[in-house]
Amino acid sequence: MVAASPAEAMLAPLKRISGFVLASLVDADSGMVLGAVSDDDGMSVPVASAGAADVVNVLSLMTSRLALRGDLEDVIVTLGSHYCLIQVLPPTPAGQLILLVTLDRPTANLAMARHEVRETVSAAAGPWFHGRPQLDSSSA
Amino acid sequence: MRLGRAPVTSQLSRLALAGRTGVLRIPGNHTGTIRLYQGMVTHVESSGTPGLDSRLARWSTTPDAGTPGALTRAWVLREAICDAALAMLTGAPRSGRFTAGDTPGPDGDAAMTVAEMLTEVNRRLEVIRQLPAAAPADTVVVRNPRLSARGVHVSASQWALLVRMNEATTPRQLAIGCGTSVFTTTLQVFRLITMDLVTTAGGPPPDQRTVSFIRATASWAAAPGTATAHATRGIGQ
Repeated sequence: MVAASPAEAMLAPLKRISGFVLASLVDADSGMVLGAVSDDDGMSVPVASAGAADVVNVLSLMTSRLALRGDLEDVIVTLGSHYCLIQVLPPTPAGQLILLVTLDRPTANLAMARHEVRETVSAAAGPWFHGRPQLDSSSA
Repeated sequence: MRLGRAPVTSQLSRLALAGRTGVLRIPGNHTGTIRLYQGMVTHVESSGTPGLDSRLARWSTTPDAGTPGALTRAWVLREAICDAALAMLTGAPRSGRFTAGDTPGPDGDAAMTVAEMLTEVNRRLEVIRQLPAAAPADTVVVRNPRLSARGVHVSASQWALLVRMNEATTPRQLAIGCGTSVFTTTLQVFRLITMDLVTTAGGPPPDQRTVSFIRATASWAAAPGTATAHATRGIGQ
């Protein structure tokens, strides 16, 4: 049995979300996938992760050009059969991570899932990323 | 542009398959070393990218950053491996010199298989191929003198690059000075070009195309032989 990487261990609690299909932790600046957990072997983690990083970078470009105040926090993409939640994690000296969570739309509760994603990121901030949590989960 | 059947990638794959432990010294424009432990890549250093120490030192100079946790440390180590491998392997003219012997085991969970590392390097090459420059990391750039303080919002990492661009420089020089990845710094600099905040020095007006990770992933997946290579975990063989 292969031990889980830190990224996979951090993502593991997300599998409890109703309708869970895939979760992936991605470096938004480089596009590198740090880890992923999935219940669907047919869904390509590299393609989904690259697409999420592109979405965040394009939206960041848009907010930069429009000089909108405040940083991008999350993106929700609604498809006919799936939801894609892209959570932007607090920046670190190593760069910017994003978390992609894909859900089966008929069985998922979007509001609950969004809350659980934020809770997971907030809980992981200390042990996995750095000394003190920085995500304000009360703004969800 | 792919590593393909370059002698050094074939050599790496053979060493991985044999589960060798030791150090592979790579010649070329950016020399360096690849440390293998039982066929796994545990560390890569290149003269063309910042060392691991300077990457980790960023924590001590960033207020409120705390200390890197297990995941962040693994992320920095993997980025250092892939960044150095990209600089080194793309310019390597021939095989390296392997010295068997004791090398430290993996630092935490940061070790990568040779196949994982080569896959990531090939993906990065596909991303770089989209940039409008022959050698993007060594393109001389300068902050746009017509920069207006109004109407612009950049990230903290982009701002950190802008304030270091008082004189003409290159993404590689910026990255080595800041202790950041040459690959991600290059992408950030070209995003700043897209935003009209940075321009290439002395050359024609730069093309303002944006890069796409998904286009790079699709290009890599569609390359001849990729499916087989993924299946056998032997990219470049």
